[in-house]
Amino acid sequence: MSVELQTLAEPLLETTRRLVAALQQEASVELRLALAKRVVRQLGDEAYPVFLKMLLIVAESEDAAAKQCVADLLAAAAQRMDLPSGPLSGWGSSCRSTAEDAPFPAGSMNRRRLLGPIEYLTVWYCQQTQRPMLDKALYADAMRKLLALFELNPQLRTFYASKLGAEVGTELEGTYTRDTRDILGRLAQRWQQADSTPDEVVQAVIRGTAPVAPMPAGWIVHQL
Amino acid sequence: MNVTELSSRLPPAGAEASAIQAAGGLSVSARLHAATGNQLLGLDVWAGASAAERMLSVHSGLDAPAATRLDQLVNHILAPLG
Repeated sequence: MSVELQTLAEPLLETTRRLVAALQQEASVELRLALAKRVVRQLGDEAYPVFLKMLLIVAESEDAAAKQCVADLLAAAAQRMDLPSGPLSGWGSSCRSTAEDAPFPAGSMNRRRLLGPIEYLTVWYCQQTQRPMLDKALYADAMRKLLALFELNPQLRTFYASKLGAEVGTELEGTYTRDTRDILGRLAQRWQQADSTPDEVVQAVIRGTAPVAPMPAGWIVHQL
Repeated sequence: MNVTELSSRLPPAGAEASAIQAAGGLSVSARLHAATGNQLLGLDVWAGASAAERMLSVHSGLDAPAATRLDQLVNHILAPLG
């Protein structure tokens, strides 16, 4: 990790502290939700990973009150089907650019899908989007930490797992590849089992990323 | 305390961002945009911190005057990122 990159640690920590402080001091869940969504919006479409990083900072902390506050907020958001979301291009669009943070070409704007934290991480890991694909180890680590955070509110786990399970069966063509659907489906199925731990869910998610069915000789299969 | 009360205690928007940029040369925002998503997620912000130090509620940072709207509160939250 470069020294230059490490200098981002304190600003990210301080921003997370400020967000948590504001959320903890606001009594109205509606205003807490509005605040979180406004933070995501003001960060900008291409900076949703910064919001994910803030969630991970909370998850990695030893601050039980902060974790519970964020989990409760996300539970309220999930119940309203209104989780703070970020856009990634659908796999059918051809909007990948050489620069990760370059704007979407105008023609692909309507192919973007707004995705909640788990869906965003999974699409980022599984699919070609405007963003270079997420490393497997980072995906597994981030998912494990987010699931542990989300478990602090049982309703969040129930709502979010149900939403994912329903979504993989009904999401419009072009949003998810087969691999992404498989992963989200396995995640939802395992997460809905009351006794499953984040580690077990992640193991279930990443175990089958290689093709299960044998491929005919001479076939070359790419992850799309 | 509600958002209106909170935001009434915030510093002027942009003041902190300017200070951060002046202190660090290249702005935090520029460094943030230069980092890839993989680098960002892999960054260990708690490096060297003990369990006792891994707290987020150590201070509110909301003890200065000014501002009246939700967007000003958001500006205050995001100010460390420039």
